[in-house]
Amino acid sequence: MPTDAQPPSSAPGILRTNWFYILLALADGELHGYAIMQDVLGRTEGKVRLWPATLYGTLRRLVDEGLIEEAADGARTAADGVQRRFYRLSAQGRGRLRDEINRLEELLRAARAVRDGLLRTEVER
Amino acid sequence: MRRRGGWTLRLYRTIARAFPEEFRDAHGRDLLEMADEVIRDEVLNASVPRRAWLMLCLLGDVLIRLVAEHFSDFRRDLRYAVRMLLRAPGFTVASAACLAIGIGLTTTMYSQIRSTVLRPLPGVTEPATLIRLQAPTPFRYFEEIRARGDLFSGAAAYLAPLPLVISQPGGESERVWGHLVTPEYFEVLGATPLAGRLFGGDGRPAGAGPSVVLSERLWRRRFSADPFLVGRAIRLNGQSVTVQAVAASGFLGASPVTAAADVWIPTTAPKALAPELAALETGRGTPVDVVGRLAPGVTPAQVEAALDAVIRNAERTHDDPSKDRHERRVTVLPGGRMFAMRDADLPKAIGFPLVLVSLVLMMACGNVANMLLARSEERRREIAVRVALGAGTVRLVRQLLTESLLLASLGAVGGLLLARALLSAMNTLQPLMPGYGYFEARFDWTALGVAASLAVGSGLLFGLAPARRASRQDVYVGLKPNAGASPHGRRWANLRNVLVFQQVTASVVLLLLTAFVVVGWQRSAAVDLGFEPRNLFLISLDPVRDGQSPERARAFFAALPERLRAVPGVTSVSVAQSLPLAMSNREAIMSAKMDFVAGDASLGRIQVDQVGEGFFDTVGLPVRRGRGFTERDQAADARVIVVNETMAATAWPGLDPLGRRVDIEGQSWQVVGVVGDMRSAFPLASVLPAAYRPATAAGFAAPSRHGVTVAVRVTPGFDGATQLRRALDAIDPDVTVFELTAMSDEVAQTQFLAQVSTIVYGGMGLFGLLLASVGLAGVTAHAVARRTREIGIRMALGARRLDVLGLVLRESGALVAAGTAVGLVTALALTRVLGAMVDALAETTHTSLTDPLLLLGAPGLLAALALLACYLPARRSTRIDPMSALRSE
Repeated sequence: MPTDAQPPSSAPGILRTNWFYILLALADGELHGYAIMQDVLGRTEGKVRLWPATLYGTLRRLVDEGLIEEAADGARTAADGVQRRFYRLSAQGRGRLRDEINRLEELLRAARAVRDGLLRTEVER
Repeated sequence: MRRRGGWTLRLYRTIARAFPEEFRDAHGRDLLEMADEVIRDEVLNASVPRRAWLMLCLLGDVLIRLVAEHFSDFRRDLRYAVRMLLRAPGFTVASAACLAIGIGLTTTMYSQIRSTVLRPLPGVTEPATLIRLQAPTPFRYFEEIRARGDLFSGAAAYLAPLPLVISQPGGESERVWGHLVTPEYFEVLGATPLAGRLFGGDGRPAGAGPSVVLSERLWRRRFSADPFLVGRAIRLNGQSVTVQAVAASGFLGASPVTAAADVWIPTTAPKALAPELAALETGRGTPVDVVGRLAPGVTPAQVEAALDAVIRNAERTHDDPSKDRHERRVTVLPGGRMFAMRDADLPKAIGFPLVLVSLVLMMACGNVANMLLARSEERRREIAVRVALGAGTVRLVRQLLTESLLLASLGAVGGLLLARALLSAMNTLQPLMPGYGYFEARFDWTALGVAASLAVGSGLLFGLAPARRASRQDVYVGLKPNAGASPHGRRWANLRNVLVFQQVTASVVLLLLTAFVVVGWQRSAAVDLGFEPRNLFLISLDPVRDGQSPERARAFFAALPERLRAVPGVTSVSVAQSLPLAMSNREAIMSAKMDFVAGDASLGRIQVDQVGEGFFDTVGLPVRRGRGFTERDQAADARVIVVNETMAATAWPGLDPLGRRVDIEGQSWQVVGVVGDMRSAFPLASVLPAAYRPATAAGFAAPSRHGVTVAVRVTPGFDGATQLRRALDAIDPDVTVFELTAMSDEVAQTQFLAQVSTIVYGGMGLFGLLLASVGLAGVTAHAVARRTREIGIRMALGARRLDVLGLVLRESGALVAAGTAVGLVTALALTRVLGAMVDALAETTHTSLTDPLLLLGAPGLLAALALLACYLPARRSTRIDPMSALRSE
């Protein structure tokens, strides 16, 4: 992946949870709406469910923001034989997702340091 | 077999259909497909409670998203609309201003009508079942009315306005107004107290001695809202009375507009408290107002018929001098409104102002419609581009709707601000009313709602024109750079012509109606008042109500003229026990207003005033025949009378009035003199037949509701305000001077009111004129733009500039001519119709209605302005270069 060609993510800041999960789902390749929903369900062990209208509303927003795009050949027949519209990450979306993962990683690192400190003090007592 | 879960999907589909067009196009199919899968794969396989939960989530999700999508679309439309309106600031400001003025004026006028006439009586319960008798009834007949329990569930009588003087030891005395009421008054009205206990039907006072009820506003103003006032004593008319209760906020009695009450005294109070109490049952009995609450199932018409018989009967029993009169004795009015009036008379009172504001609103809407149509011509390309780029009709309609709504909202907000400003300006006129009159124009949201929705409606109707066209037009035609005369374009141009014609007509009607009134007012506002207001001072005194004994009051007034004449600078002094209407301008305003509202009820009566020796000389009223009053007339209670010229001419046309006899209230009086007519500076107050009786010693002991007025003529440059006050203080420091006014100030104040009205009506007329001109200019400009090509060809073929100008002006000229003619006829007809309903209007307009200057001038002015408005854009047609006009094809 040519990382140096990545455009900087347009709107820095925290990605909304729904957006983040959809971008995660599309990181592995093109998916249609129902597959995205199932991917998110599986990834979160059933904790996050994107209901149909919310999902498509969010997809629309993500397309408007330029973070994802419709697959070039538009609607096509999915594995189950139904005509579906496929989506994939845009270059910009890829950048945003990477930035968000980095941000979360830093956050987690800082949180872990605190947790380790807390554990140590408990052991010392 | 029916598929399980089918109804959920059907419901889901129905909801999904309501998504915005773009969302539906992009995701509609996928959305339904996915919902179908979720239902099939998960919902139907779940346990019953979980199934219900999943369905709820599914439907909740689609509903929430539906609202969110529409809202986000609306925000986008709004942003676009703001951009479009900002791009055409001239159009935006002009149309928003038109709407604002139309909505603002309509709201103001309706609010004023509602708050002074239609509003339910404040502070009473179930106003709809309250009735009142139109004419005051002698108090001694009231018992017989009250006895009719089959008609009323309760009836009360009251005397209003009742002048009272509130004083406190060491403090300043103040004149306030009240009602003298039978004890059941509050019960009948269903009024509630703010503190204390109102009079009960038993008539027993709450404590020992006389007690009164105060209004909330008096309690607040005079007693600083003292929470311990109830049960305490105050000084009223120089006597100690207990405050039994304070009435609920807003309650000002049964007739707030014509006689707002701040103090209520029961008729059971000791006679010494007010001269009116003693007079209540003497002689024929003071006429009192009667209010009642209808018994269930009884109609006002039944009450009218029954009470008519009751009064006739009572008149026969008491051998009343008027027992043989034939006319109807009792007219029942609805009693629950601010101003009592028959429903059938309402159009008389509110017709004229409503017609005027309707015309203004109609013109404003017409103008905005016209501007929107003109704009739609300009926007054809923009719309065509958007259609070509794939915008659906629904999308376009939504966009245009948002624009129109935004425009209308701007107009409504402007109208709201304008109405508020106008109403608060109106309320500053309250001091021009007599103390007992109440005028408060309140903002009325219903009025704003109706006016604004009319404006919004017309905005929507015409704002959508471009979308309706876009759905029909050939995109290719619209995209051509000079998208000129299409067959549809012609139709819209015709519609615009109709709108302009309507505007010219409405404008002529508005201009003429307002001009008739304004010019009529200016004429009827007499320059010559008939007396001499300069260097004349009026002093209002009321020693009896100020707590002095009748004997002392009599002695005081006997000595007063002589003592005042001794003041250097005073040339003449006279007393009056009541003042002619024309000299008491606030009374005149009130009475004119009542005439205006009540139609012919109070016209045609004779005004009788009691004036002292030398009165006519002091006020400068010329004695035409015979003589004025002398000291002997006053001392001897002589039955002599002086009449004005109008009365002489009405009662004895062509005959010598001197020596004739007049019957007033059962007594015979001999005419000894004729004086000139007095006119009020207030335009609508007409000259009534008037008679003057000599002032009497008894009158000083029991003065009229205005107390006693002392007229003082002084030499020019005399500082009456300070010198006269000082002189009166020297004569008797215990007598309160309630008012001391320069007559010329009063006259100026009244004329100011007339000027304000002139400005308001004149402003309306001019506004209409302006609107019509703007509309015409727009139409002509558009016609020129539309015919650029045609004009180019004509000029290339050798047409002269003048021919071209004529060609363009002909169309607009025809519209102006037709509109003016129709408007002229409509205005004349309308004035006659309204004049037939409203006497005051007929009286005002009867000279101006046939004035050739107005009849030709007003339409002429409009036509000239309109042609100018056409000419300016039409001139552009003569500058068209034939070559470039043809090349642009």
